[in-house]
Amino acid sequence: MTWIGEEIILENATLGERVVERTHASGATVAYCRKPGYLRRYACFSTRFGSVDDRYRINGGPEVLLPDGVAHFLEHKMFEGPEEDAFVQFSRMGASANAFTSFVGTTYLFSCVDGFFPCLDHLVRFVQQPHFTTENVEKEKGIIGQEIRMYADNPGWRVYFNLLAGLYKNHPVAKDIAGTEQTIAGITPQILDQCWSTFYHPSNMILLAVADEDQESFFEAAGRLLSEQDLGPAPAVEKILTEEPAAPAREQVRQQMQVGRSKVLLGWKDLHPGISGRDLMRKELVTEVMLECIFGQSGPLFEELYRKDLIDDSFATSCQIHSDVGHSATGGDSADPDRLIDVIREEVGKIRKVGIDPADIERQRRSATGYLLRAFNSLDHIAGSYCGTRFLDGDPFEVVDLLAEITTKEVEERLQEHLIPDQMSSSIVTS
Amino acid sequence: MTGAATPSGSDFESSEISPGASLHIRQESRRKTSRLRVSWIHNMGPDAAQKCLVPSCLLRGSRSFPSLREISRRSEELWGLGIGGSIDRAGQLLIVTINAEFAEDSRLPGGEAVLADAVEFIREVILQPHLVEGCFDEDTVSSEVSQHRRSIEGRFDDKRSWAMQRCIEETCHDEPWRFHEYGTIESLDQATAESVTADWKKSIGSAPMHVHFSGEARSDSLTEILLPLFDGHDQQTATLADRFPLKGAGEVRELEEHFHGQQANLVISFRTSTGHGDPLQESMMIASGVIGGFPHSRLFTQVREKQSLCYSVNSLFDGSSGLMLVNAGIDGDTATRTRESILEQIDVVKRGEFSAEEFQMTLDAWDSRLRMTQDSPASLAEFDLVSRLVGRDPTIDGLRERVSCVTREGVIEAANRLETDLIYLLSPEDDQREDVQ
Repeated sequence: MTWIGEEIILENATLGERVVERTHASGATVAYCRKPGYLRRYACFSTRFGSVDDRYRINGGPEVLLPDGVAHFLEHKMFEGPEEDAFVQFSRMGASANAFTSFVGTTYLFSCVDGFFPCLDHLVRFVQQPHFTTENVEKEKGIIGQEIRMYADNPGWRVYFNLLAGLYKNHPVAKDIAGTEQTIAGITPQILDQCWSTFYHPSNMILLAVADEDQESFFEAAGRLLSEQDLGPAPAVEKILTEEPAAPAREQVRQQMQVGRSKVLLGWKDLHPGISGRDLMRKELVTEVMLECIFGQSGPLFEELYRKDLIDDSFATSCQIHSDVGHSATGGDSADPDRLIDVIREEVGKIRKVGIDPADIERQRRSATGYLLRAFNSLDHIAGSYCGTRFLDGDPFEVVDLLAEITTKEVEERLQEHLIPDQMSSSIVTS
Repeated sequence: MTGAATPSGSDFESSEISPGASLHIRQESRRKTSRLRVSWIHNMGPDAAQKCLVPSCLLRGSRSFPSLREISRRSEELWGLGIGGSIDRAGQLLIVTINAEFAEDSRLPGGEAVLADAVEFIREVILQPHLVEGCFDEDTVSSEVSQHRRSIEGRFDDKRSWAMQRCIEETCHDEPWRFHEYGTIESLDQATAESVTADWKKSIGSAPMHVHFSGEARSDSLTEILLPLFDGHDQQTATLADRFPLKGAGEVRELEEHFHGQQANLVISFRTSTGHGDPLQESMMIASGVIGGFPHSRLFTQVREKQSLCYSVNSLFDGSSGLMLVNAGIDGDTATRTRESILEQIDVVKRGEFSAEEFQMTLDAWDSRLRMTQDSPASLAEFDLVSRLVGRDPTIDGLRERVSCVTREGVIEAANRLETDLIYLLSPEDDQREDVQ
């Protein structure tokens, strides 16, 4: 039997999108979204193994502690085959391939115009055929070392990770996804094998295509490919979460480096243990609407800060959820980071007393609908949104219904409970 | 409208609205949004910074929506219409643009429609800005001068891009390719409310102007909706400079500059003596692709994967300046070795010692890249506009056809035109600072 359980249809009339999802006998989630008329085809194979997954045990056994940067290192090494690099085979088929590691997952992807099915074969096979040797693992340390240094010289990256270090005391989300040159020095083929066996079992993975191909041909190919290897039953993996206090680790982190423009970020910490799926998506959406009402260009603060020359058009806001923790952040480039922090702290206090105008929320509803229509033009966005929400047991299209449902009261309550000084940290990078 | 719709061979249906002003429409039914791009063309020069201020000031307020906040509120009411300014270049020309994207009427709930209101809003932003006694507000101009000054200063924060620009500046010290599209701080200091207002009036009145629209709307009714965007454009009086001749390399030069940081950036400039319209232009594109355009290319497979000398390494050919740049993020201690390794790979291509498969993969990768462009209205509009400006056939299929005709011999011939000009290294100071508190 290739497929188990019921087929799931996720769809939304406003967005005009529909994803068909089936569960393969191996445990893999396989999903298909058809994009009629698009020449580009996109597919990805994602595992729920990211940089925060640093501790686990199997079948109640001893705790395993992984070196920082191992998920990202594994992503690099999966492309290495016994004969040639997986990239080369994609090039041979006229496709372009890539991969990325986030806090919560690792994704391998390709896009092409012709030859979608041979590319799909290659994607599934190379991710399921690791080839780690002492020599190729050692060689990769030099390449990743240069990648780490490249990010170390990027002030935007530094201000962000320094904010995470200010917000989180114990949680691995505060660590650089690629680790450091010191932590990756200890990575061995054995560690990579162990991680692959544990986290690359199909039951921990999603195979998704967004393409203008025949749906049943896709499921037939995916079913066949995932049946090629019997990787046995899924290991009983228990990811060990790191307990994180509610208060930020530090009030501020400052870094001096040579920059053309100083950078600043303010963050408000948020814990949400035990919440997932629709509840978590609702919380995220309410937070995003609240942040836009306060910090967006139509809000009470932006123009004033812009006129005072404290911010520029790089000023932006985001709400991020990483497994059991998350935060809201706002900031960008600033001529006077310290004064910007003081002004925002003071103004947010005033806004909390006055509250949010319901008319602002109505406008944000319309605006967010337009944003979603723009975003769902993109194959990459559909894939990212689908995998991201499915990793959190959510539905990527539910956001449209939630947008209609959320109330002024919820947004107001979120403002009062979340944007409080006790949960705030800040990060500055300046010359 | 002065010109009839022309089957121009473009991916867009084009009409000349007045001398120097053209409307390009492409019907697109696959997407959920329409895209509108209004661009004015100027000569690239040291005064580019002042021209950058025009879209910034326009977006600060219009007659009916006289502040940034009110502009933003109106955008949100129009179902989250996205609007912004951008500055790009096409060789020695500067492209100043207002871009917008908004929902298709057919996608909106409750039978609402946004197209006509969106175009009218964009028209007002462009043609009826918030003026005080006939000029942009002094405070607005002063604030945008500060903002743009920081944009220029902030270019340093992207080390790879900074190193490439420094390499171009030093390679082409007396050629127009040396100018950055953001311009210089010195010219920014000359900007006043009067000068920015004059630049705005010159742009909308007499600069070459192109409007690209891509969306569901049918062109017969759409043209009537879009025509008011051209109000005020009398005729093109601004003249664009003749194409600057391409130069060859002299003696190979080396330049090293320092910064406080961790990774060195190596950039090597090559003169190709190959510009737009040259019979070997597409062969040079493929030669650059074989050298370092893709993950199967020699720089990636040999310099990165075999020798572990870098994480990022690639080559890029620009048909306007006739330059090919190779850049790599490296450990400063390996700069000599990396440079030798890069030059060795280029010699391999010059000697024709690349495989038939490498050649074919590069042709296929370029073809795939060009076909994918057809899914992106923004990329298609950019390709169309830049092609018109540099005198290239503006169709993607035309370029695909020319690429498919490239031969292995052509690639070898093109590669043998490569002359090393400048070897530039941006390297960390010895006394690196890593000061986190």
